[in-house]
Amino acid sequence: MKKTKFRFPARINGATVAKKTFIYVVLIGLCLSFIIPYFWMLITSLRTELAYNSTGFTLLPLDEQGHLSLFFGNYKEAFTALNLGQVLLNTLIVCVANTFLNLFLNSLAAYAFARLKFFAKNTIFKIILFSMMVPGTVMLVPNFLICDYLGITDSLFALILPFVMSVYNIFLLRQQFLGVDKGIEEAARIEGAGPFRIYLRIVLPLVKPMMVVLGITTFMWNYGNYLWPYIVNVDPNLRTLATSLAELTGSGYDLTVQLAGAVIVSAPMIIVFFILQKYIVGGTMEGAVKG
Amino acid sequence: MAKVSLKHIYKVYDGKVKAVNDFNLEIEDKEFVVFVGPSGCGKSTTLRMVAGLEEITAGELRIGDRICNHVEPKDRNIAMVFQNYALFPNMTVYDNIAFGLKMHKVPKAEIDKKVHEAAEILGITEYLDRKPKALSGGQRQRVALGRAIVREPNVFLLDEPLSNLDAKLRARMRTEITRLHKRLQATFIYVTHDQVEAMTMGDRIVVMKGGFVQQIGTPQELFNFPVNKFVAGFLGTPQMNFFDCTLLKESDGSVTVRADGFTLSIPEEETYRLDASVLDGAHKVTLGIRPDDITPLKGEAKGAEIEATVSLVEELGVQTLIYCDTDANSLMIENSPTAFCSSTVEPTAIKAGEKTKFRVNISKLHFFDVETETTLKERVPTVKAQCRVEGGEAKLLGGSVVCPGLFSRIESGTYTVSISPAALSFGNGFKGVIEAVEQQGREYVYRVRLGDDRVFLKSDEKHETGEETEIALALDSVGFYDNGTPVMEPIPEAYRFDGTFAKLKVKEGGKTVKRHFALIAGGKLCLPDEFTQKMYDQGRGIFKKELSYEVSLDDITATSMSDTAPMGEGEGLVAAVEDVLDYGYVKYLKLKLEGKPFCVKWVGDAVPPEVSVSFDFDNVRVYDKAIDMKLF
Repeated sequence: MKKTKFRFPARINGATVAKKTFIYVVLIGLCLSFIIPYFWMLITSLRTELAYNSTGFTLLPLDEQGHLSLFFGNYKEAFTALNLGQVLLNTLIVCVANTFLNLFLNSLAAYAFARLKFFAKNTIFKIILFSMMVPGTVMLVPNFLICDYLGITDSLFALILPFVMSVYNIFLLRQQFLGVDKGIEEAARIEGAGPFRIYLRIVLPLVKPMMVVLGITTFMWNYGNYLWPYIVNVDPNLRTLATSLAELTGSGYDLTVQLAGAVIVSAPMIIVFFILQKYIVGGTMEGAVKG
Repeated sequence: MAKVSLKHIYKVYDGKVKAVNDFNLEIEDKEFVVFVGPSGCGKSTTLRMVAGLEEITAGELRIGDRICNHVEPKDRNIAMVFQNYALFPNMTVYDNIAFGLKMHKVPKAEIDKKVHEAAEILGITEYLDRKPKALSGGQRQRVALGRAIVREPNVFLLDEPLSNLDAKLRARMRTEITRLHKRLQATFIYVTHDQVEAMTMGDRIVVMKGGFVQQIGTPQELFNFPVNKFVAGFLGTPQMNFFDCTLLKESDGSVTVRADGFTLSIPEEETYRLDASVLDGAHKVTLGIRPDDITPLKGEAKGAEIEATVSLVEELGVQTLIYCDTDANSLMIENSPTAFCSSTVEPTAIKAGEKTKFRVNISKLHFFDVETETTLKERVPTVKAQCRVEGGEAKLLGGSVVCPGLFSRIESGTYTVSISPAALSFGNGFKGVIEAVEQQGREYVYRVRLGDDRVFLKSDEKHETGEETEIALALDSVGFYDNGTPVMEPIPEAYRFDGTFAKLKVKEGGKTVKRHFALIAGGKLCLPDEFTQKMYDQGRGIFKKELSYEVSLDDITATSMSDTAPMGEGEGLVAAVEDVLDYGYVKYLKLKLEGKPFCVKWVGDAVPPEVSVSFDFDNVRVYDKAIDMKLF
């Protein structure tokens, strides 16, 4: 009987398998490099300081005898040290207020730049875009001096006002508005809607995905903003999660308590990310293409 | 409901690109007007100017009795249907239709009633809860129509509403829109590039090309009397056939048409409308014949036959299209000077490759100038006739006219006179017989036989064919030519004077005051306040613009220098008198102002060497000379 030579289809032949394996190894490696530090932080925050000092590097929650055990005392201490109730409230006020004001004002500005006719529109837009080139850190001192002049330092207002306008958001939203069919707006205009109503009722709903993405990113940025609140607010009652965590790390607490604080601070955003990841990924892609 | 009036409407981009040029149209209440033309002809721009979505550069737009140039779209009481429907994707069909009513704060119960009524009319009741993306093209178009009708506007503007639909749906929606127009009894302005839509839907059609209106008229008028080759070719499917030819007037009055591959003979009674200057057998002329007017010949048709080889036969069911070529060696179906298309509704056994004879409907021939492409067979043409001038009398049109003041200036002899319809009217003068009457809108076009000549005139008076009548001739509108050289040209109805607008200091009663002037030909005319305001309405740039002041003959006054009231330093226009033209019933002074000749009516016998010229600025039209745009 003649021996038949069998072959796999091209898509699963040896070369392809090797290529795919290589790609997956790289991807898994990258994933681990991101996950391991966080996982280590989580595990270490569930161990006692003694257990942490008595063993080397481990990704298992081991006690000083090398047995598996979970210790939640660090969290209790971190809660108190962070002044979590007040700090969380401050953070939420700043992030929520900033996100809504930011989206509202920036979308208005973006719509104006996209659709309204006014003197030197393009020149003004170019000047605004130019300000994107200035590093944020450079603006710390002028911003502080302005806030001081306005008498709003040492207040939550100082954490909101300087960040309600975002050139990046204006730019992205303007691009989105430019993509909206002008005919729809003209139809609304003929039907009797004014520019604000067209913006609010017709155009804004059409750019909802981008608004969601910018809302999330703005919220996240404010949530993690550390340097500005640290400079502008001295009063401990006006601290946000980020500054409070910095305070915790610099106050001589055990490393395990510091890591528990870090987990507490980062957990809400990680949860938000998992819930809204569809918008974040989609929106980032869209922004990349449109921009 | 409302009339829409567009007077001298222009749209100019960046001060130089003219998208719409001197658009004039009066749309009657409840009329269905279609703007048609190829892409980029300015039809949509004009519609958008009516809607208020585009600013009007110059001209006057009235909707009803109101000037609407600067009125917001929402306050014009119009509704618009867009090519891409422009539905609000985030709203349901119900909300889309109700949007305008909500904006106008109509009570909720009434909105509900109206939306359901509109949905019922358009057959979209079952889709009211759906979002636009869940609808087909035809359904979306109905929603767009629903959104328009629900507000009961005075004027409906439809911008190529059917061009996104397939052919079958388009035909159905066409009839639906026509029915809707009858039902709503509103004014409709419809933009399309599809000549079938234009011909089937419009009460009147406006054909546009390159920003210029080519012709305005009823579908039949445009089809039968196209003013130029473009209109002739644009309307009608299949397109009109064009041939190069020459025309020769024979001794029996008939005209022989010689084209490449065939010769036709036009009997005398069909030649009266033809421009006589091209009947010399040498002028190249474009002949146009619609496919329906070339049909397969059964029997004989002397002088109306074309023999050609059939290249292709297309059976369309009720109609058969036969593509032929008089040059048997040509393989071209179109774009060949010898190829043509014949259309017949009768059954035919003609096959491709056969040599066949076709009958041409001689009364439906069209002729166009090769260079200007304008028709040489106007509906109301200027006619040429022979005139014998002798001893202060001219014999023409089977009669004579005595005018020593005029004819004593012309040497005795025979001249050709050019008589425009405007020079003719029913009244005392030349006796004749009405040979033919045609209705054109609210007026009648008459062909009147005066002696051996035929003249054409337009009048709103009603007369019958065969009626004996008298025709008055306005001599100042008649041109006299000797072998093409003008001997006496008709007096123009208006003149244009180039100049500028300025605010200058003048001394009045010992005081220095600022006044506004039109600076023309080295002189200056002080402007009345109303006119000055109109100039200011054009914006600050008006002071820098080169202008043309257009003045009708009746609005120019000349006064003897001795009778002129004293004016300020350098004020007024002083023109030298070159000649006097005495037509008997009216006398003109021929003047010259910085080399520009013009005429002005003159009363009195004494003729001064110089006159002071003034204008009645109430009726003066002003043009931006750089782009030839009428400002007001």
